[in-house]
Amino acid sequence: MVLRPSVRRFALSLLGSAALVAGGAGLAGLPSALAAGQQPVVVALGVQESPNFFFPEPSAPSFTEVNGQMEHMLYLPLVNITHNDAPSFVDAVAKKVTWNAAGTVFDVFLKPGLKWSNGTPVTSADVVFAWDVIRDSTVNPKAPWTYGGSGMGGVPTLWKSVVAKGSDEVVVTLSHGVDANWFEIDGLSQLFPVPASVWNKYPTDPNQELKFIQSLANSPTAAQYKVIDGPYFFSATVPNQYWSFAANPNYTAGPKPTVQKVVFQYETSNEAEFAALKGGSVQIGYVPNTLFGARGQLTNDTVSPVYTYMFDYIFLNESAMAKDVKNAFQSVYVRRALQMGINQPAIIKAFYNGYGVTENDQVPRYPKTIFFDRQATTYAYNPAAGKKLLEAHGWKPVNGVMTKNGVALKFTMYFNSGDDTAAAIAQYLKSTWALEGIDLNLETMQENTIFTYGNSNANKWSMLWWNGGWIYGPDFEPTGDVFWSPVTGVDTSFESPEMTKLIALTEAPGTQAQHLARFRQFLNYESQQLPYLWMPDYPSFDAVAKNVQNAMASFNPITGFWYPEYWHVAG
Amino acid sequence: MSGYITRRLLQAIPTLVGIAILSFLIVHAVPGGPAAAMLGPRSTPARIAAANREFGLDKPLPVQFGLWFWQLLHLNLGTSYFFNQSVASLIAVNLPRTLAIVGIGVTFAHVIAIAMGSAQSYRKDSIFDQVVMVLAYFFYSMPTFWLGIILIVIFSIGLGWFPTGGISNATETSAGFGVWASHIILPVTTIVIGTVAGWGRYMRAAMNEILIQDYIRTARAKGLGEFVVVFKHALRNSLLPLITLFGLSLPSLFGGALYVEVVFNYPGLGLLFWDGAVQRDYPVVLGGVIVIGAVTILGNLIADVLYAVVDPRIQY
Amino acid sequence: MDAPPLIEHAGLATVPGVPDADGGLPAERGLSREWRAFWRNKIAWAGVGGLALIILFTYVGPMVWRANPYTPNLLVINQAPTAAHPLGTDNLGRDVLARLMLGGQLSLEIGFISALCSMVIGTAYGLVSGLAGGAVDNLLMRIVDVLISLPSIFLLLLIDSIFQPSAFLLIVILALTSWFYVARLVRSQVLTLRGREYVEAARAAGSRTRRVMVRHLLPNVLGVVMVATTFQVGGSILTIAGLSFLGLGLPPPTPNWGEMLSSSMSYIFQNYWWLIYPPGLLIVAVELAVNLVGDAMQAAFDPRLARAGGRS
Repeated sequence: MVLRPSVRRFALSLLGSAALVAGGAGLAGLPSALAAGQQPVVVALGVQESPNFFFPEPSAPSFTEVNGQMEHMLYLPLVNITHNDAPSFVDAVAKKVTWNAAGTVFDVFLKPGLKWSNGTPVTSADVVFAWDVIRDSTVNPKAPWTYGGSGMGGVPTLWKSVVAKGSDEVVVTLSHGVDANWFEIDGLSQLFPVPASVWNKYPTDPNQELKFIQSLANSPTAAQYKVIDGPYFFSATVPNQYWSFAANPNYTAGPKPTVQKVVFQYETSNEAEFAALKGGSVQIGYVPNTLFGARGQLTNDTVSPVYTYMFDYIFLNESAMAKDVKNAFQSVYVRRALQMGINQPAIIKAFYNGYGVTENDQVPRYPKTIFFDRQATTYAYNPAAGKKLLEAHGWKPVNGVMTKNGVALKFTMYFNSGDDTAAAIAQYLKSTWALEGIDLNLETMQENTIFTYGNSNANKWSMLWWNGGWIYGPDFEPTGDVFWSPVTGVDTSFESPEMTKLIALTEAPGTQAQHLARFRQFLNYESQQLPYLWMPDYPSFDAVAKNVQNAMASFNPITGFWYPEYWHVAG
Repeated sequence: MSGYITRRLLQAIPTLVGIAILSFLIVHAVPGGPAAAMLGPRSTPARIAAANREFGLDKPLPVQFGLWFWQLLHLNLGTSYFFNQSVASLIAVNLPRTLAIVGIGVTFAHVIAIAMGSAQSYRKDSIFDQVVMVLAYFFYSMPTFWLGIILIVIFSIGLGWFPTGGISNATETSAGFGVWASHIILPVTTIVIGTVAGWGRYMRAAMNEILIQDYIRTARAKGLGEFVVVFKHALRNSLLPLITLFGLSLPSLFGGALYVEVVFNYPGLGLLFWDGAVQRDYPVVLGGVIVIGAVTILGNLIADVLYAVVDPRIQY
Repeated sequence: MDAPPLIEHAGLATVPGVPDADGGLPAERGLSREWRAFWRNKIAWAGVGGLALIILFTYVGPMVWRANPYTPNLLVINQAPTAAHPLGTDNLGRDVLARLMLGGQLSLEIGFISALCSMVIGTAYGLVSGLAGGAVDNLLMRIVDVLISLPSIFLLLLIDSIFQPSAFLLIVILALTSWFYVARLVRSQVLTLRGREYVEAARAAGSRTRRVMVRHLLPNVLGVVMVATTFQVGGSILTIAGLSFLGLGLPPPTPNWGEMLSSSMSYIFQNYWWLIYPPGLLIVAVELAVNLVGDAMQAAFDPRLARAGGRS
C-alpha cells in the first residue's frame, strides 16, 4: 500500500503538531521565573490540602487548618493565644480585656496606632463588622453559608450584643455569665477584624453581603485583600500548585518581617513532599510516621517532634441497640476492660517510632498547658486484669469469646481506609483484645462515610475509629463543652447528666483557681467513665531547613500555625 | 464524509447524556458526602450539615439531578467543593497535562515500535529478535504502576537523576523547559515502555515481511544503508495500523495514564478525577467522567476520519 | 498494560495495512484438533507450567511454609530477610513469604471468576445480537460500541470508591466492565458462521434454525471465546492489583499483592526491597503465564490471525 505523498505528509505533520501542541499545553501550566535575589521560603502544605477560603471568618466546609494558616498571614485576631494556651495580646488587635464580676459584660480595648495597610486605622467598627458577619451567617437559617465556628465559644446564642464604644473599644454583652479565661480564648479569639470600609458593601442586606463575601472567598488576588493588618500580603497563585505571600512593609502590630517571600506549596503525597525536602526545593515540611526511618536522608533539615493540640480516641456505641454488642458498652466496667486491652506504650514504640504519650482523658500532656491533669485515672494495659474484670461481672468465655446473657463481645471496628499506620495499629488492637477474649473484626471505611455512619441508626455500628483525632480550635480551652455537646462528634448516645453538669460548671464565672479546680473535677470524671477509648497522643515531625531560623520556636502548637514574620534566613 | 462526521457527533450526545446519568446515580448512591473528607479532624455533625446545605446536598435527589443537568446543558460543569473554583477551570488546567504525557508518549512509542518491528523483521528469528520478544512479553505483563515505582526507585531515588513526581520544583525559583522536561521524563517513559510492549507484539506481525524483503533488495541494488531504508519505508507504511491501534487503545491509554499520574503525582486529569472520587467532590467527578468520555469519543472519531483521509479505499 | 487486549478481531474483518487472510474455521467436528495444536506449542507448556507453579505456590505453599501471615509481632518490624523469615517481615512484623502465598489466592480467584462471568455475559449478549440480526443487532452493537469507547478504569474507580470493597463487589464490577470484547467477538463469529455451507445444508435438511445455530455455532464460537477469556483473566488480575494499589481492594488483614505493593510505597526511600519487589514480580509472573497460555490458545483456536501474521 502506497500513500499519496501529499496525504502522507499531511498525516505525519498532523501527528507531529498534535504532539507539539500537547507538549506546549503542558508547558502552559508552568509558573513564570522569579526575579533574582528574592529566594522565597517554601512551606509544604499538608498532603492534598488546598486553601479555598481567605476571608478570616470562614464557612463550615472551609473551616480547615490550611485556610486558617492563610488567614493568619493576612489578618490579626482580636485576641491571640500563647504557646501554652493562655490569652495573649501579642500579634493581636486588642491590648486589654476587662470584665465584670458576673462575667456577663466584656470590655475589649484595641491597641492604639494599629493601621490597615492603606494607612487607615483599625477601629471598633471593623471588629463589629466581623461579628456581624458571624452573627448573620449563624442566626439566619436562610443565609447563603454558615460560619464554621458556630457552636464554639458560645457563638451565636451566648453573644447578646457586640457594640462599638468610641473608636477603640468594643463592649460584648452575653446572655449569661461565663468564665473569663474561657471566653477570651474560645470566644473572642474567633473574631478577626476586617476593614469594614472595604468589605461592607451591603450594610442593609445581610444575605447579599454574605453572598458578596463568598464570591471573593477564594479570590485572594482581589482588591479587597490588599487592605490588611497582618504581616503578609497575598502575592500570586497557580491553582493547586502554590500560594505565595509577600511581606507587608506597612505592618504595624510588630517588627517588620525579614523574610520577604513565603510560598505554600501543594503536596500530592508524603513521598513527593519527602523528595522535595530532600532535594531542598521545600524548606519547611512534615515527615510522616512511615518515613521516619528515612529522616536521616534530609541532610539540609532539622527534624523535630511537635505535639499539636489534639488527641486521639475511639468511638463506642453506647446505645442499647448497638450492633452485635447491644448494650454491653453502656457498662463502665466493659469500657474499662476495653481500655485495659489497649497497649498504648507498645503502640507508641512500634507505630509512632517511640514518640508519643499515653492519654487518659481529653487533655493531652503536650503542649504544656495549665489544663493537663497529672492525677487523671489511668487504666493501663493489663489484659489479664481486664479479663478478670469482665469475669467478675458475669462474662464467661464461650468458644474463646466473652459472653453474657447471649451477647458476645464479637464486633466490628470501622476505621479510615488509606492510612497504613492506622491499619497496622488496628490489627495490633485486634491481637491484644483477643487476649481478653474479645473478637474484633476489622473493616475499613471511606473517610467521608465514617461520620455519616456514626450518626445514622444506632444499630448499624459498634465501634468507630476516626483516626484523625480531635484538634482543638477555635475551642482552645479543652473544657469538653464542644467535644461533648450534641453538635459534635458522632452520636454515641453517651448520656451522663453528671458530666454535663461538670462541663457546665467549668464555664461558670469565677477565679482562675476555681476554674482549674472545676476542670480537674471534670477531667477526673471523664477519665474514670471512659465514654470513649483513649489512644496515644503522638507528635508530628516537622522538618525545617537549617538556614531558616526561629521557625520552630515561633510555631504555635496550640493554634497549629507557622508565623513567618518571626523567621530569619541565614546566609 | 461531513455527513458521517455529523452523524457521529450527534450520536455522541445521547452517549454522553447516558454516561452523565449513570455517573450521577453511582455517585449519589451511597450517603457520606464530601464534607467529612474536607474537614478532616475538624468534622462535626453541625459543620457537616452546614456544608451539605451550602452544597445543595440536602435537597432531594431528583432536584439535585435536575439542577446539575440544567447546568450541564448550559455547558456549566459546576463548582468543585474542595477547590471552591469552577470545574471547567480545573479541567482546563489539568487535561492538557494529561494530553501532554499521553501525546508525547504515544509519539515516541510509535517510532520506537516501528524501529523495533523493522529491526526484528530485518533480523528475523535471530537472537536479537528472540530477546526483544521476551522483553516485550515481560513488560507487557507488568502493571503500569509497578513499572513507574521501579523507575522511581532506580532513577529518582537511587541515581537522583529525576524528581520523584509533581510538575514543578520550587514554585517560583526555577521554571522553564528544563525543569518541566525533568519532571515528565519518567512518567512518559513509563507510558512509552508499556505501550511499546503492547504494540510491539502486533507490530512485529504487521511488518509485511515480503515488502521488507523488497525494500532490502531495492536498497541493496541502489547501494543504500539497508536498515535505514527498511525503517523509513516501515514508518511510512505504518500509519494506518497506527491509527487503528491508537483509536482502539485510547481508553486504555487514559486508564494507564491515570495510574502513572497517581504514582508520579503528576497533576493531570486522571489524578484530579481520582482525588475527586476519594473526596466525593461530586462536580469534579461528574465533570471528569463527561470530559473523558467526550475526549475518547472525539479521539475515536478523529481516528476514523484519518482512516478515510489516508486510505482512499475506505468510504463512509 | 493493564487492559484487555488491544487487538480485537471481531468487528474488523481485516486490519488495514495487514495482508488479508482467509477464514478457514473448522466445521462442526469439535475442538480436539485445536487442543492438540495447543499442546504441541512450546509456549503453551511454558505458560501452563508457570501457572501451575504459581498455583502450587499460593495454595500448597501455605501448607508447607507454616509461618502465620496474620499475627503481628512488634519486635521484628520491617526486618530484612533472615533464616526465620526468608523474605523478611512487613510493618507489623508478619512474615512476607507467608503473606505472598496467601495474597495470590484472592487475586487468582477473583481474576478467574470475574473472567468467567464476563465470558458468560459476553457470549450470551453476542449470540443474541448475532442471531437476532437487523435493527436489534444494530442497537445492541451500538450500545457495546459506546461502552467500549469509555476508559473503564474511571467507572471502576467511581464504583469502587463509593461502595464498600469486598470480593463480591470486585467480581461484579470487573465482570460488568469487561464483557464487551467477548460480545463483539461472539457476534462477529455468529455472523460469519451463519453463512456457512453446513448450516445451509442443515437448514435444507429441515433442522430448526435455532437448534442448528446453537449446536453448530457454539463449539466454534467457544474457541475464540476461550482465547479472549484467557486474556481477560490476565486483565482482571492486573486490574485487581491496580485497584488494591489505590486502596480500593479488600480490607485488612487479608493480604493481597496489589495492597502489599501499595504499602511498600511508603518505604521506597528506605529501600526495603523485600517489600517492594516480590509482590510486583509475582504479579508479572502470573500475567506472563496467562499471556503465554493465551497466545498459544490463540495460535491453536484462532488460526485466522496466526496466518495473518499475528502473535506466534
